[in-house]
Amino acid sequence: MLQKYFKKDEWFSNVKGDTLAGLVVALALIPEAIAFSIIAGVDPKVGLYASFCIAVVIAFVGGRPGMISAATGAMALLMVTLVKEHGLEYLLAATVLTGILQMIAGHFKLGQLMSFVPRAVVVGFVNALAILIFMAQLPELTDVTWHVYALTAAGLGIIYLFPYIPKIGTLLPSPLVTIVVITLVVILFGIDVRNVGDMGALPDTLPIFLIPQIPFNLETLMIILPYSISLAIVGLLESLMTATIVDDLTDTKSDKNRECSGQGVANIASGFMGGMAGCAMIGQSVINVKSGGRTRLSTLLAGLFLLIMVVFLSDLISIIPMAALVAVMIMVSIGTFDWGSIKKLRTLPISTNIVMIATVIVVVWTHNLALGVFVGVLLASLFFANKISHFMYHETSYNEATDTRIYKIVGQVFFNSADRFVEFFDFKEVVENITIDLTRAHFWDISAVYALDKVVIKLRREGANVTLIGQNQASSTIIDRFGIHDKPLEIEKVMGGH
Amino acid sequence: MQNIKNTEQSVFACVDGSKYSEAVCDYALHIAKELDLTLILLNIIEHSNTSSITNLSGSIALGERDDLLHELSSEDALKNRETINHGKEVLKRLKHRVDASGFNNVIIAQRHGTLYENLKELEDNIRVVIFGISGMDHIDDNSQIGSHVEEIIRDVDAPIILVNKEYTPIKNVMIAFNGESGSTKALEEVSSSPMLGHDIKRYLINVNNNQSKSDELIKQAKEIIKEDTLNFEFIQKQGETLEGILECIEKNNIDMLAIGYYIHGKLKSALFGSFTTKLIQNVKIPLIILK
Repeated sequence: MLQKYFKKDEWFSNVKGDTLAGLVVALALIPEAIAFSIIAGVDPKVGLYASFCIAVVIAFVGGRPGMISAATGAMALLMVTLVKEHGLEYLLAATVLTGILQMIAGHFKLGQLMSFVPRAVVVGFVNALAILIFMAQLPELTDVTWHVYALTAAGLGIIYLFPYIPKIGTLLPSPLVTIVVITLVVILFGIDVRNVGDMGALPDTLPIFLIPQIPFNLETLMIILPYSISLAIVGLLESLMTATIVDDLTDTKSDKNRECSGQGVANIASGFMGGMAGCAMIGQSVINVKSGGRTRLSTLLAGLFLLIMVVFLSDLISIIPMAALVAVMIMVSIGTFDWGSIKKLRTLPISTNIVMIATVIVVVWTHNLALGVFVGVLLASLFFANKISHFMYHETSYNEATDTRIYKIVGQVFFNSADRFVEFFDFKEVVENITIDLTRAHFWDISAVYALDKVVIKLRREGANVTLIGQNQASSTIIDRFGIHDKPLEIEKVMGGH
Repeated sequence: MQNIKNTEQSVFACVDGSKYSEAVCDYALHIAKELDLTLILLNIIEHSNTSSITNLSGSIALGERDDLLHELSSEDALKNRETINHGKEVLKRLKHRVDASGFNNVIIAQRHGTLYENLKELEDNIRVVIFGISGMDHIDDNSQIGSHVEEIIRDVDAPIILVNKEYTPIKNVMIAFNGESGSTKALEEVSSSPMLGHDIKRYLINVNNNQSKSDELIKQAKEIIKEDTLNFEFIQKQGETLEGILECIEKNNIDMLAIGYYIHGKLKSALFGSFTTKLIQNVKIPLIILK
């Protein structure tokens, strides 16, 4: 067990790269954690404690070395009403419960359910997330003086142009440069704009263990459970998606189920340390890999550096203008967006695009990524069923000598194609005998069986003698029993020789 | 080059061109000859977990994820091609060496991934696997055991031979016997099987402060060995196990040591390394390890 959880390679195979990356990520995590706390409607310290706890804990228990988890926008958006209606303590309790649910999911290996989420939904999720992060910045940009716009624009300018400066451009994190420069400008010119300190309390001590102050009863549970379920689902979805992105970037594998329960453990820790629920972060994980981070060490160091900086520099952090933070968050939003997906829109099948766009619309509408994914998966399944239902045709022939009409059905018969199956038959034709050859038909569900029954009864009612060929093969394939996927012969039988 | 998945049981020699590769090849050749099995010279293309491209700008632009993927994969492609070519040369050289010895049942193969991953996957095809104690990572460092060695001997279910010196003909072997299942298997492997040849001298050592227990273990060992056919010598010693074994190796000029992988308490092993690890670090002759 221990050896499984402490592989030297997963910690110390890339110390230099991981240390630098950890530092870069920590610097980038600070503005994000503050911004996401503001989205959730809690003090910045809640997000900062969360980011510290989650990053440190997930470094040990996560299933994807080199991935960064902390307080995230996707999760923060789900907490808004809970915080507004019931307050911080309920959020902490919901965070712990979220962790418990995720651990259960990990235990039952529900990470595998990810395979039901099609690529288009994943892309929709990511794009919706980017849009939501951007939209969350809008309150900071409405009803403000022109100074804020100027500062934000200047901030974005620095973020994207600074890396082009030779040498130091790739040595200093440009978001940090932005924050420092904008803060200096605001102080030097005495510009009156909102700063982080105005948004609520920053951490002044190390986080301490606290049991959320809530009444432990059924009523409380019923308040937090719906939130926790959404949080657990969204947290796992984003974490598993991010894990896949990191897998691809680094050409390595991750342990998805360990990641699920790891997210759970991290959230439980966060909840008890006064932090909000979080999950893996797409943007930060990309930054980590880009900065050379590969192992668990970079995740751990990101958390530790974050805490050290926040606790000791809280006075400095409080004077950061919100405009600088907004600029950084716009960058995060842009970086999260899957730009490739927009470029591919024209070449992809329309159904795929509908699924992706529907996911985005539902999420932006409801601010709930779980709902978006649900709609996306549902749509994708329907499109899929529709496509498969086309894999059915019939051949018919007539034997004059015996006055027999022969129908030969080939293909997939199930709820979506059952009606078309019925339409294959000409009930008006007057014949003595009717043979229905089902040897190459595949009956997937009870709708198919029902359709066949209907056809047979109707034909018999018209006075014909109906014979079924291969009925046994066809209906024996109503498959709820599975596990034949690895036997080519069996599959051949089921697919009716397609 | 052949795909070696689903081949019949073979002798695997894992070589990477580091300093023990020749020795690994020679020991493997010796065993393949004795067992009359195919010798597979396997070169593993390990992907480095680091990148020389580091950009600490901390910013991500539109489409940067895709760009980064391209950048990293073309970097890997370049590195991997180099490693593959280097591996091919090593394999070619060693195949010549084997061919020159007159043995022609040899296959060369390359696979991607870590040594551990590949051996785990090929487990069922491995009659015995031989590799050097330190890979390319620790080229001049003899005391350090290669990064994956511990994981492999713990997890891969196949007889393993660790090579830690130049090849010398095997004239004798010593079995460290403690009655555990691993050492019992080790005993069976080098006594009944002809892996090391029929005519070599065999020593069995038990270091034990409890004389009656030791006697019992020796009796147990004798039951396992078909005594009449074999040239066995039994050694009983008191004192510290590791020292006892090392002393005995020195005194009798032993060529190879057979042991069972054995963990004394998981926590202790995880923190301080298992006894097997300690043995591996201190023994100066090749080891056969069984579980």
